[in-house]
Amino acid sequence: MSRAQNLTMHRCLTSEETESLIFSPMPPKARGTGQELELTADGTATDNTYSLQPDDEWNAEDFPLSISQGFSLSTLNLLFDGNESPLAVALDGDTIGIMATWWSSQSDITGCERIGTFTAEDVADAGSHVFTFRKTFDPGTLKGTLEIHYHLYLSKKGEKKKPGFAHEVGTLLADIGLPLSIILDGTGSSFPMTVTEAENRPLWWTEINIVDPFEEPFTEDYFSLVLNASHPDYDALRGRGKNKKGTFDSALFREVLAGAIEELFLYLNQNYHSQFEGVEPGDAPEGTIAAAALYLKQFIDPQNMMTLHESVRTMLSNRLGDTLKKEVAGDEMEDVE
Amino acid sequence: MKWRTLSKDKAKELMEDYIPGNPPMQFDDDDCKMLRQELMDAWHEAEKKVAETGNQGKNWYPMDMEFGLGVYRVFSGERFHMTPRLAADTGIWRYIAVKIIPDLVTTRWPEEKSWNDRIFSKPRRIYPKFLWWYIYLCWQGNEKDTRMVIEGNSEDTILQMVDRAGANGYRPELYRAIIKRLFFFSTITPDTMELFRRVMKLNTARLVTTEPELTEGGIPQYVEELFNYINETKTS
Repeated sequence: MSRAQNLTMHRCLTSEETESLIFSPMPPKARGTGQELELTADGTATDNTYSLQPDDEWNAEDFPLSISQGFSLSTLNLLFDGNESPLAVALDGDTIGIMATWWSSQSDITGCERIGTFTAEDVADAGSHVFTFRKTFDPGTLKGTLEIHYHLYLSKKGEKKKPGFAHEVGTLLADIGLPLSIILDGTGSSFPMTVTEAENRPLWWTEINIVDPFEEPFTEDYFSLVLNASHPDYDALRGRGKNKKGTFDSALFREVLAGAIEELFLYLNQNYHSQFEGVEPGDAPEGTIAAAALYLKQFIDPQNMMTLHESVRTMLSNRLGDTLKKEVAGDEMEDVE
Repeated sequence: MKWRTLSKDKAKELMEDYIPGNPPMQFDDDDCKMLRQELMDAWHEAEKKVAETGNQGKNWYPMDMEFGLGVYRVFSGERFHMTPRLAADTGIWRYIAVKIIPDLVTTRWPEEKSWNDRIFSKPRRIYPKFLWWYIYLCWQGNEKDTRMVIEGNSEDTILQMVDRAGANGYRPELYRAIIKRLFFFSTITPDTMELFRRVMKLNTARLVTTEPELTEGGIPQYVEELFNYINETKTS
């Protein structure tokens, strides 16, 4: 969700409008204590997603992590009202700031970091301007995937006031560019899964602890596909021979994943149907169960059991399904005690 | 310290045969044994402090607060140093609740129907986790100042603080400022808990469009304005 886009009281940019700013990220850099750490690009060429490669002399628990990423933005002059631009979100005399909000998927801590500011005079040309995000994270702060999202905000208010324009310092004006994702631990899997060992139980089930899908993150604590390593069919689920690493690339796993997605939708429909009415993808806070469900709902028909069943399997067998499977499978999962 | 975890399934299985009040029969290693000793000491110290203040039996908050401070103290030491990264791992806390101090947790939550929430199921309500995060989010730099600002709170305060993480996590600096300001208002406002609930709701709404750290005056000013707004709308 764009935090700024939910706003109706003052101008802020839609996701389509921010494309005019031509956000161009440079490869990020990571440093431990003194040494540079290796980041490798994940995903497609246009993603801003990286994996931190293991390093013998650094770990997230005991050492700080410094991240930096430069990026350029263009046509920033259009953000100011003096140009009579339809993209204007601030008045001449205001100062717009760029900042980043960050969180890591599994450590329950979030924060923000200032990046830079500019006035109408600073960006009078329509050319590109470079900004750099830099932050050092304390040891023991990050776990899972580090997400860094870039935003524009009102940094300083000029003397002019005009209806429809923000006048409170700190007000968010736009989400910009591509979020930077750095996978620190684990697989970066976006579908919550755990592995357990339980005799005399099925191959898989779901564990659901949802109280508020619009607030709780889409993580194993709240919704999890639980795989049973004690079940005789577990190796088949992993798609490989018994003594070899498996990456859950099997028809059985696709069917299990389909079942888990069905259960998620059935549960949400049964318990939170009214809360989802009229809510569009992008309206729910990013990272929440609701956001995940609304994203998947674009490709699924939850109208009744039959349409849900078929549409989930169709989704998993097409290109989106390949992406989801790749995200879910990742590397070998660790078994949980 | 080797941090051990316990799945929800395994925790539930172990609690099925558990007799409330019984200490653990065995430990997986010496660290677990030592951790139990330190947490037991913290519990007894908390009982003593609560008895000294005469708050014993009135409600559970005084005990939660004192034991919470004790838990935080234990996990701030060198041997069992807990960071947010570790503290966010529900499996670790489940292990502690079920295999290290099940007797303490079931003393606090004697009804078996509450074990699901408080021992292995609800991630933000597992008792030792719940307490650690409450103290972490209220921390004022030292135990004395922290105790001072949270002494007048209630079980509902802990719930409001710890449950309202949002999808992306807590903002520790903001929460600490809110709880400090609440302490000030508690000296002049009769219904502090209602004030706190309203402030937290307003904060949740404002976070959609505003970044507290970036407002004029930063977090302190932002928090001041939250309280003033609620206080003024209450009296107008």
